[in-house]
Amino acid sequence: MKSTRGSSRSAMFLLNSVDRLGRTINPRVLAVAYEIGPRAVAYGERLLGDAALTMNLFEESAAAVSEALRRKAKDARPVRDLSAYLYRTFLRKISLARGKQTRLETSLRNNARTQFLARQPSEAEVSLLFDEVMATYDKVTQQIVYRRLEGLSWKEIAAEFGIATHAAESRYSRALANARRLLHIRRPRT
Amino acid sequence: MPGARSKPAKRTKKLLSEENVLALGRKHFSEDFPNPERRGCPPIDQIRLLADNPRKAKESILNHVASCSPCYRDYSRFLQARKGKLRSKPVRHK
Repeated sequence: MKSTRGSSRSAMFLLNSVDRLGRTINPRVLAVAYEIGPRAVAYGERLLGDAALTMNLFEESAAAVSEALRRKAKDARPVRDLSAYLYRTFLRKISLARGKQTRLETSLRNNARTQFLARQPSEAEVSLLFDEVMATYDKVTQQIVYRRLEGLSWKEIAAEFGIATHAAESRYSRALANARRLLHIRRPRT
Repeated sequence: MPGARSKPAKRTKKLLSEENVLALGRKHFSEDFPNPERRGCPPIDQIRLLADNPRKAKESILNHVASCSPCYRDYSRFLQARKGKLRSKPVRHK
């Protein structure tokens, strides 16, 4: 099938006589498409943000209108305003494409959010976390962490160091929180 | 019903709780630093002192325990014994 893109009427606006699905565009429809095309495609491009997709949709609309014309000719039902008919078909296709885009964007956003929330520190990250605490904190904090790892209560830990219970708890939480921040590790869900 | 699609199983991701983090930490210190020849290990008394009297412990011993799994396991054993001792103390009633 011969393409008309090389021999266009307008240097700015070029159309194929066949759409991407291989359906031919009626010469009458093609002529109307050249008339309304520049404005229609510019409008569609603003809505979809993709020039190639908009152009494909416009050619598909022209091909669909050509098929409709063929069917209507058999039934002896003429199309009164071909340009309005083509424009409405194109708008419907743009609307469908926008709906798909929106659904895809929403789905991707939701998926990304779910993955981020569900992300938990891995075993390697936990190891790094404790190594960081042991490498950077004083010996009291280190021993508080060891005692906590071994299951001692805050009361027992505090009594061993002669400090208040909340002070022991606070030293532990601060050390782990700082290490998490440094290593960009999320706090686990409790 | 024949041919009917079965309900897809719910995706349940096991969440890591604070307890699991502590368990992973314990596993890390007791397994990730093997030292079969016990190179540079302090005497066992020093590790016992670290568990029983933390304020008198030396920083060098503490640093060693953080990077030697056999010493950490000894330390853990002493800490467990200490925990048992603390918990078995009779509660004084006023």
